[in-house]
Amino acid sequence: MSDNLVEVRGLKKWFPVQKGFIERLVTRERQFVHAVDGIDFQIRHGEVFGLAGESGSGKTTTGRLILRLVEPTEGSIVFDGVNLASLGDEEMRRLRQRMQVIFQDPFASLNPRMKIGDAIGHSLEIFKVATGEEKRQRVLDMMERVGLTPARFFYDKYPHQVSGGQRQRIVLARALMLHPDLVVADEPIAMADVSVRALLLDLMLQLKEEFNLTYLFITHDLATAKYICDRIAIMYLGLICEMGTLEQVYRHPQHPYTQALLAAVPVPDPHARRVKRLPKGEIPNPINPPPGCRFHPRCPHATAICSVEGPSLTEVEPGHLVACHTRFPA
Amino acid sequence: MSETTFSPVDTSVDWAVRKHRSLWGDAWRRLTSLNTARAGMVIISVLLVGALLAPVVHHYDPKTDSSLRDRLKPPSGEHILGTDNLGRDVLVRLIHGARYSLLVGIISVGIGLLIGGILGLLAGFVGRGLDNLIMRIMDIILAFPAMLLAIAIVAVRGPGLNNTMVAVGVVFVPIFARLARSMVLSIREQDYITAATCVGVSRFRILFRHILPNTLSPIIVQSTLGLGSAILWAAGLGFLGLGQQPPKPEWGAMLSDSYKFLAKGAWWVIVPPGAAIMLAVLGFNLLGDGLRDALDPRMQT
Amino acid sequence: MTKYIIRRLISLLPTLLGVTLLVFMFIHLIPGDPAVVMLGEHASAENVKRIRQQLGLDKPLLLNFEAPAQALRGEIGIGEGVKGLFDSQYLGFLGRLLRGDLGRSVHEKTPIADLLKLKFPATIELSLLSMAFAIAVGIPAGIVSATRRNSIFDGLSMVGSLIGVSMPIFWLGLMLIYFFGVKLGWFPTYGRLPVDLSLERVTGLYTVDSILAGDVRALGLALKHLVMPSVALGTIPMAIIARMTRSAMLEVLQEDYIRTAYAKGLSERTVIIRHALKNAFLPVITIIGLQIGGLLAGAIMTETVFSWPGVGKWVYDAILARDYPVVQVAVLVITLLIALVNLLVDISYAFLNPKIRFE
Repeated sequence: MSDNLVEVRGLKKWFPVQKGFIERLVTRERQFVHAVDGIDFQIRHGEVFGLAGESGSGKTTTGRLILRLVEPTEGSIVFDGVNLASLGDEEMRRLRQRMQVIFQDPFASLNPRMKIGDAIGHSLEIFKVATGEEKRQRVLDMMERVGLTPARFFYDKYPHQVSGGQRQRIVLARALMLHPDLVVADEPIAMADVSVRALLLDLMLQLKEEFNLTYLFITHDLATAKYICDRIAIMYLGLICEMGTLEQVYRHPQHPYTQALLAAVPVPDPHARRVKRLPKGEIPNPINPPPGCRFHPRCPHATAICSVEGPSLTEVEPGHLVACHTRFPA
Repeated sequence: MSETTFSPVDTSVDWAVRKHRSLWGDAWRRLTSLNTARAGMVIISVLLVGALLAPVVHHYDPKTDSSLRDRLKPPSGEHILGTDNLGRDVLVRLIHGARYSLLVGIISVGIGLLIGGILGLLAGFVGRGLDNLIMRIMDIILAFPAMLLAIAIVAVRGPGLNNTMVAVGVVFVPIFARLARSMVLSIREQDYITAATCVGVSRFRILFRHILPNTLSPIIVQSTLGLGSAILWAAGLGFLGLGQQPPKPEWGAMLSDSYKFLAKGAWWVIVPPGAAIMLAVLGFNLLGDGLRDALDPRMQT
Repeated sequence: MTKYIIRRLISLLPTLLGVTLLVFMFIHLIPGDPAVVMLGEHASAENVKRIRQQLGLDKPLLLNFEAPAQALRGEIGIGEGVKGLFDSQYLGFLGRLLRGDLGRSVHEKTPIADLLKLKFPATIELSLLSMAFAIAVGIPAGIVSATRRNSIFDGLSMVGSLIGVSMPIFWLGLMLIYFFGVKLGWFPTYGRLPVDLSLERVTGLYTVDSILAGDVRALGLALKHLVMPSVALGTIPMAIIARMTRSAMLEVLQEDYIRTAYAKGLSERTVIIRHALKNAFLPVITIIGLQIGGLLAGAIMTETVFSWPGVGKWVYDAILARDYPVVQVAVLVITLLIALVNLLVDISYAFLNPKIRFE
């Protein structure tokens, strides 16, 4: 068995731009949103792999591609040696037991008409693992483990009757019910109150040890990523621009975009000098991404070649990959 | 189990939350706290009692009911709401007419809900070509104004209560189809549906266990308001002589039977049936508005 | 903008085509032989044959596959075969409509188009006046309700509008006739003008015609005849407009820019008229547009009650007389008219809404 739980190769997802019936008759060319535009990375067993970037960078789509909630346009995803594209619907449904997801908004990800206990235990019934009293007992156990105590008090409640932090715990419990290998966490704490964020992150780390989990942690917040991730990939407009261990990326960022993002992270020291090198302007339109390096219109170091040729992801030191022509060590 | 035995671990536990109360219980509590909804429920209860009890308590045969001596008598102790041109007691006929309004309402909304609901669910859940096909047809039906469509259908199929129910039902089909489809489309994009997919729930089960129950609230609201519209339209058809036929005491037919006696000053043959129609419609409108507020998911926090 | 209008027009076409198909199929929903049903059981065979021919009932419904089959067998030419394919009832119906030939009434034998020209203005006049009444009462009532929220006036007008939307308009019409016509004798109870009064017909809108003729007495009479039907027909839209205006105003009045306007020291009058009303108007206009459909359908009831010689009464009489070609045309005209009005509302909405930009 290889080290890697997930291997992503040349992954692309283009969404067609919706048009009216008449317009489709009139205009020939079809337009696409280049949500994910050819990325490669691996997630190793037992690590927390971070995927960071602004909104619209394609990080969420990447997560959904790995869960095969959307079908890739191109490229392959290999999960524990199995190529997901080769699986039929039913096989995929079975494999889903081994990969679970946690969304940003725990309220939206809970069916408002299902009791909390039923929502958590739903997967047990689906895969006929346990029913009746056994199911109830297992659910109660899991609820205790994620800190939903007293479990019996919460079992028969509805999602709207508990607090936001508790809802995120419910979602965690539901995800862990079938003992998955991989948990894709898409901005899991973004909606939580600041006071409970750290608690939730600690809980996630603790559960990772208990259940032997691997996380794909998707976030726009580099401070959060720093707290939980082992390795991280920075995405910009559907491409990875820098990837490496936490140390490599945070200590020695090589890509101007990474540098800019890190410069924007607040530092808890009022005297610390901050180098303001924020990118100019907004993230460009992913329907017509800029030619060459996608970051060049906003890059302070752009040279002539940047607007012509896109840089490829190259290894600058073992395990540290950067896609930049100029590479400005900070 | 009492709440005091709990030891709070998570400081954010909301202890104000009372013991398990079902979602419907919450909605019912909100509904009964609204004055308008209460008024609606009272009106509808009266209507229900009239429709269900009248045939049991008192046998009424419209064919033999007539008393030529008592023609067009104004309200009096003997006939509280007076008599019509055939000497029939207006109040008795009014009470016995309740069942027609209720019947038309329930059957036609049922037809619309069943056919429209299924079409809408299919359109929203299957999507693509089927969605396009179904919704284009619904658009075409919706292009006709409701009352005109109902009149046209009854006009070709012939007058009568059955055709009235069918005609009004057809009018409801696109309304419910649109509602069901838009509900499915919006719910389908919710994270909890994606989450259910991830847990391995099959498409079929997602539709029935997760999507369908969440479409209930708006459908209940629309059905209640629809009952009001159906009663109004059916009475209109009755008034035009296209609905339930005299001598059956359907309210619209009662009006069309006797409005020519207005010139003789016989207001009592006109006021009660019309007021009954209006109150029945008002009752369902009030209840429908109240349900909309009570079932609003934004209020469930 | 032009591009947007053209796009909307094109997107309307499939629906309109579907409407014509449905209206056409209408005759075929009649149980039994439509020609016999229309003429009655005792009709002469000759007459039945005439009607069958007039309606083309002998031809196939949608497409005539017999012709190309014959052409393939070499019995007729290929050109004729292709042409014959389209020799069907529906396409014939559609073709006649496009040429402006609306057919003939079964009983009166008059061209339907002529009858339509006669009846149409009466309905338009009634609808316009009803709408004017609905807007003139509904919008101010809604504004006052919103600004004096929870006052007695607000309560009364909201109860009134709830009753208004639940009102059977035919009953309201009868009550108006009884009180203001029979009891008080203020208004005439039927028709558009006294029968003995003659007015030169120019537009068919009697109010306009009487002004054109300079006939003040006729104008007064025409208006008097219009009052009760307009009130009856306008009540439901009035109630809906009042409710919509109120809720749109309430929503706008909560906005920060209204608070800012008050904070600037503007008078309540200025704030409500210049700031709130302007922004509350869009949803109100939409709801007004949507009422047109109900108005034209309600015209059937109102015109029947008040013997108003418009399209509504015409449809009703045609239904009773089983004059289905007339019913077809009237239903089609009303439906097409509503589709056009809705399109106009959409376009004006887009035009008025500064948030919508046209590429």
